Amino acid sequence: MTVFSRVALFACVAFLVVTALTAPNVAYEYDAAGWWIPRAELERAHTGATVNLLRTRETLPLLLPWLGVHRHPVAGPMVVGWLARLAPLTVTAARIAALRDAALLVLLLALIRRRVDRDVNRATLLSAVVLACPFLFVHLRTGYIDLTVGAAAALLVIAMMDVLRRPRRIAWLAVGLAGTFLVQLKLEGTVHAVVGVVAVACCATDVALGRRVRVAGVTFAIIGINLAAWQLTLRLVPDSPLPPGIFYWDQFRPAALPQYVFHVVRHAIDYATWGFVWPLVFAVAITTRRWAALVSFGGALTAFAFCYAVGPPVMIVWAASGIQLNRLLLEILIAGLPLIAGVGASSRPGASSVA
Amino acid sequence: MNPCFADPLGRGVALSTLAQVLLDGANGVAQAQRLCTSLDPRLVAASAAALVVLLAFLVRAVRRGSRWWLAAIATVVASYTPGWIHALALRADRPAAQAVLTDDVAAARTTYTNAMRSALASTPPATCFVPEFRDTCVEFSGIYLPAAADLWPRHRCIGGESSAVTVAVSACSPTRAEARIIP
Repeated sequence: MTVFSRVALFACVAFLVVTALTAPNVAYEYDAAGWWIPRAELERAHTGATVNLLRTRETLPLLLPWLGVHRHPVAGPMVVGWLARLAPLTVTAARIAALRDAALLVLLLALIRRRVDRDVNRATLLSAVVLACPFLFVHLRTGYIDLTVGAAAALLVIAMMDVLRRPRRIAWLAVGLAGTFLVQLKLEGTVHAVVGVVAVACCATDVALGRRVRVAGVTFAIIGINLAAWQLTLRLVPDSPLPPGIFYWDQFRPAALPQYVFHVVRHAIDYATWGFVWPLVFAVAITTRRWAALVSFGGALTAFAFCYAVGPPVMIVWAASGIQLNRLLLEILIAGLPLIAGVGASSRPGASSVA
Repeated sequence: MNPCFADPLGRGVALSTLAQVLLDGANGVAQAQRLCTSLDPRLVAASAAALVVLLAFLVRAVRRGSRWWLAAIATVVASYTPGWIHALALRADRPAAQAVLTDDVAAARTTYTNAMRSALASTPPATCFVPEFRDTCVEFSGIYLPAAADLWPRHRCIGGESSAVTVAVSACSPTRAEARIIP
């Protein structure tokens, strides 16, 4: 078992690094190529160029995930542009982004190994199997940010677990950083943050209720402050040409829900994209009583169902054609990985309560 | 032509490899429902191979009395085979085709950018422009934004900025694009 685990760990890390290093320079359409990768290249060539774009009033509306225009905040291109400046010119910003995601996933794997409450070898094998699914390989090479969102959500869950176990100052700091990073990263980051808090708070039953409520409250406050920051930014910009949001809260469409469920099932059983990874994670969650993972998956899918029901009808078309829904599924899978692997919320019967 | 790439949108339009990548990006990935309108024999062969591997692992696990979770993980790994074959060998942006594809996309971007730059040549450097697609194939509209980024400090208008210049863009081919300012 230990040998299998070590081989899986080595293979998984090597796979992530090699995949990222060989990521293509092809400019994919829209999100990645159209907005943030060109700005990262611009930042690489001209220091401060991305910040200067803020003054044009062109960029700011694109930075508002709050309004549903889910471009990456300006920090993303800046950081990747700075990192790209250290690399040879032949290494594109798209490849730097792939390396960033690979590094986050390796970090996630290491943290899972250090924090699982039972069998570390089994957790490693399971994590390696999940990270080896074909969709992750293709997605890692594209420069999209969904893997980053999923990894950030997973890091927030791990940080919350750390605070529950040992409420040290550095653990609280990690919760603050991961929560801020996740909410600021992309529109659906807020959904993952809220679902993660609910899953951890409800299912870590071996920790005293009062402590769980306090940690959940503080994390919700972090999420709220970050959302409020966007609102404040809106108010501070004079005459900003704001785009309309993509959600219509007064036009709830229940008819979208069965279609959404159909498309979720259709995508999840598409073995050419996922293999059997979804049946596996649900089987593991049920047989090992990882209730937190089930709450995480179920909560996120429910929240996104609501988004589809109040979003424009074209969202269902996107779901049907695979433009959007399988990326959300990837985020949900990575966000729930620590809970599936057995970090923290094990709710074992008879486990001693931590006061 | 690979049947997976023949008519992905069911509109009777056969897209080129380049158009597939520009349209799909990472989104379509390995979805048989979307990319295949007929059953690809290579996917069938891959599925059969995966089944054989799966059975081999299961038999071995049972004979040796191994843990069932090992068999389950082996099942999952075997189930990845069709997806990996698709990603590595069949997809339009498979690694082996990457170099050619990179050149094609770069050429298409250059064509687009040159057309836009030519149309905007007589405008001040900080011009704000609004694109307007005319007679444009939908699969190539996605490449517009990278082209727009290359035109910096001219920039795309958002909303109702006052100094906008409207540029009509037309491109139905990766090797040909036209742009002109609408008075």
